[in-house]
Amino acid sequence: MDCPDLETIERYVTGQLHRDEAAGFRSHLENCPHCRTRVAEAQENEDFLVELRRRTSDRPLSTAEGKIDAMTVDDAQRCLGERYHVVRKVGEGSSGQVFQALDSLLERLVAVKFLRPQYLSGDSFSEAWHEARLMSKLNHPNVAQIYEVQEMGDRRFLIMEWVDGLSVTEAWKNLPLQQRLRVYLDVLDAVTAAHRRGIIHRDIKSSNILLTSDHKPKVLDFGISLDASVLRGREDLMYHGTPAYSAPEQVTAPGKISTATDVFALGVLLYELLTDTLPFPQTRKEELFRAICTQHPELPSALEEKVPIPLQNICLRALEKDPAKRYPAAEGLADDIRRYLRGEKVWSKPSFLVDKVEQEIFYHRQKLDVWRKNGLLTEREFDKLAGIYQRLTSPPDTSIIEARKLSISQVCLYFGGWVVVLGGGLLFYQNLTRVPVFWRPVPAIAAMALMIGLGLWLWRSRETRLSIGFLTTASLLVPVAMIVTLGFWDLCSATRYPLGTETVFEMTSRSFAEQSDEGNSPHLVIGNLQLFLACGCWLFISLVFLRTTDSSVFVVFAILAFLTLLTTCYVVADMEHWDADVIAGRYLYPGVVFLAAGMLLDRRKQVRYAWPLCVAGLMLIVGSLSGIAASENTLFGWLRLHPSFLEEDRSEPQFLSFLVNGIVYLGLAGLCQRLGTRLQRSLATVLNWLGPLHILGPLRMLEGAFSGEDLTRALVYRILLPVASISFVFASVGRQMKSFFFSGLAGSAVAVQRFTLEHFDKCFTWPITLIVTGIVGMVLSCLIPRWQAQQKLRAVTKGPKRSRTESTL
Amino acid sequence: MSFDRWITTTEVLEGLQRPDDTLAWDQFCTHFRPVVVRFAIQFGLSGTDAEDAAQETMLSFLKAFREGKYTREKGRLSNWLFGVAKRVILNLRGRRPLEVSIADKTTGTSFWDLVQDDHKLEQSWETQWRQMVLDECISQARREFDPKVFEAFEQYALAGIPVHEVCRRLNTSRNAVYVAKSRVLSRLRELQRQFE
Repeated sequence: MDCPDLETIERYVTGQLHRDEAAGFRSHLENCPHCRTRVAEAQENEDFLVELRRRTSDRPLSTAEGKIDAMTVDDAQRCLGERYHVVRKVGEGSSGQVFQALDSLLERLVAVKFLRPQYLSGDSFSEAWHEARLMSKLNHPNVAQIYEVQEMGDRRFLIMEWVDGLSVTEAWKNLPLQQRLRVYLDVLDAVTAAHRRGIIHRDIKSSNILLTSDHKPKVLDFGISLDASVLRGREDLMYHGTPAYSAPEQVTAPGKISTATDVFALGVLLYELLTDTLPFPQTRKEELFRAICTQHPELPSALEEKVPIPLQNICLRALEKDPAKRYPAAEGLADDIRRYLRGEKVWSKPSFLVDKVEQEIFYHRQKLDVWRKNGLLTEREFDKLAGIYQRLTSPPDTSIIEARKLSISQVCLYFGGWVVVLGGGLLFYQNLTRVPVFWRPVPAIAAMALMIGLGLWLWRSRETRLSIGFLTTASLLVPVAMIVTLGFWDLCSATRYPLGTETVFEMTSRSFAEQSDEGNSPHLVIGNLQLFLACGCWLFISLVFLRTTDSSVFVVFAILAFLTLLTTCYVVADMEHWDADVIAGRYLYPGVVFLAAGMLLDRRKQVRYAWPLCVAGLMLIVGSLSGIAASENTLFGWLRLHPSFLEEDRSEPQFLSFLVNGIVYLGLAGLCQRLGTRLQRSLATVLNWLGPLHILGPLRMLEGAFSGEDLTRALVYRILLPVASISFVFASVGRQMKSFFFSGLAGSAVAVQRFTLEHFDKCFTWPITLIVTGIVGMVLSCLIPRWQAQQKLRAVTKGPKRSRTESTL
Repeated sequence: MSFDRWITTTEVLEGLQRPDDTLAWDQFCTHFRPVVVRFAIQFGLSGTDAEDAAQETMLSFLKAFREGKYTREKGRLSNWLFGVAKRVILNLRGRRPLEVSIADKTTGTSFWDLVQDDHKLEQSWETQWRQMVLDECISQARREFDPKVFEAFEQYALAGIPVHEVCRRLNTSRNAVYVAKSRVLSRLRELQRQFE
C-alpha cells in the first residue's frame, strides 16, 4: 500500500474513515514510520484546532462572501485610537462584533460594536448606517444608548452604553409574574419608542435584553435596526435575525417585514415569560422554520397551569402567523398588557381558536336552520340565537364595546358630555342682552372646537374609549353651535319667514318670549335656512366621525341629522305646498331605489352596506307616503283615482290615504318577511308596527270627523275600528306578531271608549256585557285546545278508514 | 501593535537582561502591557489607573527578572505576570476608595465585585492571556502565509465550510486545502510554543 494522502490521514484522525479502510490504514502505519509521524502531527494539529475553534467560536471568520472579517482586540484598539482602551471581546452576532472598552475621557465603560458590512449589501448598508445614526438620537431609559457613530477606513462602529446585567430570561427566573410583566412592559415601551419612529429592531430576543441589578431592562442592538419605510416592498433583502424569534414573514419574505415582525419576537419573549420555554423549541433550523410558518405553538396554559388566560390570548395574538392579525406594533401589545394589569377585560383572542369556534358556530347555525324548519324554534328565537352567534363570530371593535359599557368612568364621561350639550343649548333661551352679540355664541363654538380637538387627539393617542365620548359630545354640539352662531350673528337669515311658515325653534322661542315680562323677545330666533345648514353640518360631521371611529352612535346621529335635514328641507323649500307628484319624484322613488338596492346587497350578504341603504330607503318611503297623504292631492289624487263615495271634504281622502299607506306597509312587511334574511325580518318588524298604527289611527280619526255630521259614515268607521282591532288581535297568532296583538288591544280599548260615549253612555248593562264577553272568551280559551285535540283525533281515526276504502277500490 | 520580525518570548527575555536593549523592552511591553491594562480595567480601575498599574507591573517584573527571581524554568511567564499584576492592582485599589472605581460608577454592581475569589480571577486572566497569544500567533501566521493558503485554512478549519465549497470559492484543489490546514496548524502550534 502506498502512503496515504492528507485527506485520508485527516479522515482517519477525525474518525471518518470506513472500518475496512481504517483497518488497512492501521496495518500500513505499523510498517511506515513516516506515516506514523504524519498521523501523530495531524492528531496534535486536531487537538490544537479544538482549542483554536473554542477560542475563536465567538467570531466566525468567514462570511457568506468568503471575506474574512474577524477582529482581534488589537484590531479594535487600532480603529478606536487612544481615547478608548479596548478591554475584551464580548461576543459576535450576525450583524457585528462587540468589544468592551473604557472611554478614558469620560471615565466610563462603553460597548463598541463593529458593524459587519456583509449582513446587508450595497445601498441597504448605507440605509442601515443612516438608521443607526437616527437611532443614536433615540434617548429612552430602556434602550442602551448609542453615544457615537464613527467610521475608520472601511470599519464602521457604534459606541454604545455598556450595560452590566443578566439576560432577561435568566434574570426573571425568580421574579413573580407581576414583576416580570412590569419588566416586560418596560421592554415594550422601549420598542414602542422605536416603532413610533418607524424603526424595526429585527432581532429582539432575550439575550438582547439585559436586566440591570435594579430590575431595569435595557434593549440592546438597536443600532442595526432599519426604517420600515425603506424596507417596504424590497425583494433584495436577506434573512436577518435569530431563528427561534423569527416571524414567518421574516423567514419567507424578508422584504415584507414590518413593526409586526418585532411584535412576533415580543410574543416569543412573552411566551418565555409565561412558561420559561420557547414556543417553537425545535433545534434544527429547517424544522424550526417549518414550525414557525405552519404550526401553532402549544397553549401556554397547557405547559403552565397558572398562566392567566387573558395573558395567553395576548401572547397568542402576538404570535399570529398572519402579520395583519397580530398587534400592528408594540404599542398595541403594551396596551393589552396594561389592561390586564389594571384588571380590565382583554378582548384579544388568537385567530386559530376563533377559527375553531367559528367552525363550531357554522355547524350550530346549520342546526338552527333545521330546528326552525321543524318548528323547534320560532322565528324570533332563531333570530336571537343567530344574532348571538353573529356577535361571537364578528364582535365589534374592542373600543366600541368598552365605550358601550356603563362603568363609573364611562357614565361620568357621557353625563359630563350631556351637561356640556345642555349648557350649549341653554344659549337658545338665556336672556343675553347684556352680552355683546359677537360673544354670545362663543362658548358653544369654543366647547365644540375643544371637544373635536380633544376627541381627535385622544383617537390618535389610541384612547379610543375616551375619544368616542368626546366626539359624541362634539357631534351633538355641532348643530347647537351652528344654530347659535348663525342666529346671533344673523347669518343666512334671508329665508327666515318663507311664505309665512315658522320653524319649530321659532315657535318655541316665541312661547318663551310670551312668558317673559318683557313681551318683546330678546331670545334667539332661528330661520329655516339656518336650521337647514346646522343639520347639514351635523350630518356631515356625524359621517366624518363615523368614518373615523366606525362607532354606531354616529350612525344614529347621522340618521337623526338626515331626518331633521329632510324636515327643514321640507320647510325651507315650502314642501307643504308641493304637489304629490313632486314629493313622489324627489323622495318616494329614490326611497324605493334605496330599499331595493339595500335588499339586493342583503341578498348578496353585504349586510354592512345593505342596512344603511335599507334604513334610509324605508325612512324616505314612509316620510314621502305620509307627505303625499297629507298633501292637497292626497294619495287618491296622486294615483288619479277619484272614488265617488268619498266626501269632497279633504279630511276623509287624507285619512283614507294614511289607511291605504298602512296596508302598503303591511304588504311591504310581508314581502320583507318572505325574503327571510335577518335584516329584512328587522325591517318587517318595524313595518308591522307602522301598519296597524296607520290603519287604526285613521279609522279613529275618520269616526271622530263624521260624528255629529254624517252619522251613517261615522257608524261605519266606528264599527270598522273594533273589527280591524279584533282582526289584528287574532291575526297575531299566525306569525306570533306582538305588534298586531298590542295594536289590536289598544284599538279595541279606543273602540270600546267610542261606543260607550256614542251609544252606551250611562248604560249599566254595557260593562256587564263586556265582562261576560271577556269571561266567555277566556272559557273558550280553555275549551279550544280540547276541541282542537278532538279534531285531530277524528282526522287520525278517519284517515285509515279512507285508505282502506281506497285499497278495496 | 506587532513587529515585522517574529521574536520569541525567550529572545525577548534574553534581551531584557541587557540594560541597553530597548527593542526587547518595547517588544515586551507591546505584547504584555495591553493584557495587564485590560485586566486592570476589568478589575474596576479607571483608564489612567489601569495604565499606571500596567506600567508598574512591567517595571516590577523587570526588576524581579533582572534580580533572577524569575527564570523560564520556574514556570510560565503568564503565571508570573499574573501574580505581579494582581498584587499591583490590589495595591492600587486599596489606595482608592471603592466608590470611584469605574465599575461602581457605571453600573452600580460590577461583575468583578461578585467574583472576588482568586480562582475566578486567575481563570479570567488565563482566558485573556490565551486569547492574546492566539491572536498574536494568528496575526503572525497570516503575515507569513500566502493569503490564499491562509484563507483556505480559515474557511475549512475554523469556519467549518465543506472542503468542496472552499475549493469552489477559492478555485483550488482538495489536496491544496488539506495541505493549507496542516501547514498553518503546525506553524501556529510552533508560534504558540515560541510565544509561551
